[in-house]
Amino acid sequence: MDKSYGIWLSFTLMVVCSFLNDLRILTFIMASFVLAILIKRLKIKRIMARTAIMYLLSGGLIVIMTILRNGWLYGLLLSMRLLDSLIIGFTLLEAYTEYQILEALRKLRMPNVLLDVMAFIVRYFGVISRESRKMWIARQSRAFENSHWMSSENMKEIGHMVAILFLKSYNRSLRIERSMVSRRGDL
Amino acid sequence: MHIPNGFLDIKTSVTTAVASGGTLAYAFRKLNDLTDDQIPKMGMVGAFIFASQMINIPIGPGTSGHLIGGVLAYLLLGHFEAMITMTAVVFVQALFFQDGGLVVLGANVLNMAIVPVMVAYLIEKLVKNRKRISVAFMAWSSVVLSALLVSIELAVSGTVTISQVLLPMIGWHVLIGIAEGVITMFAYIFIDEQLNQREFSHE
Repeated sequence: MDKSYGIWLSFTLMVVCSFLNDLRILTFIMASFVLAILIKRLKIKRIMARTAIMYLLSGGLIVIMTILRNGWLYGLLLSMRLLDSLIIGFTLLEAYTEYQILEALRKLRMPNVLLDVMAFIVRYFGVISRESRKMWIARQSRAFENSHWMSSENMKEIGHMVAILFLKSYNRSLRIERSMVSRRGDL
Repeated sequence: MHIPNGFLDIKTSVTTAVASGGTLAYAFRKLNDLTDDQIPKMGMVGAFIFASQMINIPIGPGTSGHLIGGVLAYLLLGHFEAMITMTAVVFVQALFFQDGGLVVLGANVLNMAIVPVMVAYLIEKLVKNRKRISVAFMAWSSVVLSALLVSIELAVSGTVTISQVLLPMIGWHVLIGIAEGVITMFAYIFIDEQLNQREFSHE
């Protein structure tokens, strides 16, 4: 069977979960996914840890505000919606590679330009973020302190760091472009 | 700034998706004749903006924000290219990092990819320059306006009341916007100087 169907099914379930108002169905979907993770022997600890972290980072504060306004039941409903879609999303990432997911989107006739740019981001994000971390460590080792908040010196330092990061990325894009041209012979 | 899945109702999700989809469709049509060298450049700027978002900016004691980068993308690429690049960044964050929901992607794209670029474009049209202060103002206003939109979308969906969300959201992002403005200004000036030396222009 085409692997894209699993990806499309996950996307559909995410949409359904986001608007469901029934806590029992949301609990059933969550339990089914946990069971599927166990049957497929995916890394359940990693999926759950990521789900918990993203839940706290992205939804925690809004859920508290909602509980204050609409009561704990509505807060619980929002939490379940978010937890369901996070579990579906992280399970998808464990079961398929990034490129399989992008390929499934291509079959949905999403614009090629957008998917090509996304593929570049996926491919080079790791490289550039490692570069960024190295630059940050180098600055700290030269006694740059990131503690004088909102000082113009601090902002200037970070601005220069961002600029150098861009120039490195730009040089890399020129190299990629040249290698693409050399492989195909034209632009 | 990223709205997660399940926090917007159907009408808000659909309205923002239609608004974003329409704007992006227009951008794709305008960029029909995109040359092959622009895709690696857009991809690299996207990866760079994503990586830059990981650099924490200290805002106050014990708190920090990070660059959003929509205006920087506009200044480096041009408006339609920046919209598509920022859309790709927001999409990758939602798809591969679960940061922001896929179902509310329309709202997140509108808040972080379309509005900041449009704000920057309109301010540049008005002031007709890219001097330090106008670049900083573009970045600051894009952050504050995006925060305002997020507040309105959450309130219209009935997730929170406007009085609950507006003050903390705007107050906080006024400060983050100052940092975004100053960093964007310094970064753009430095990049512009360096690229001018290499006779580069996004046009």
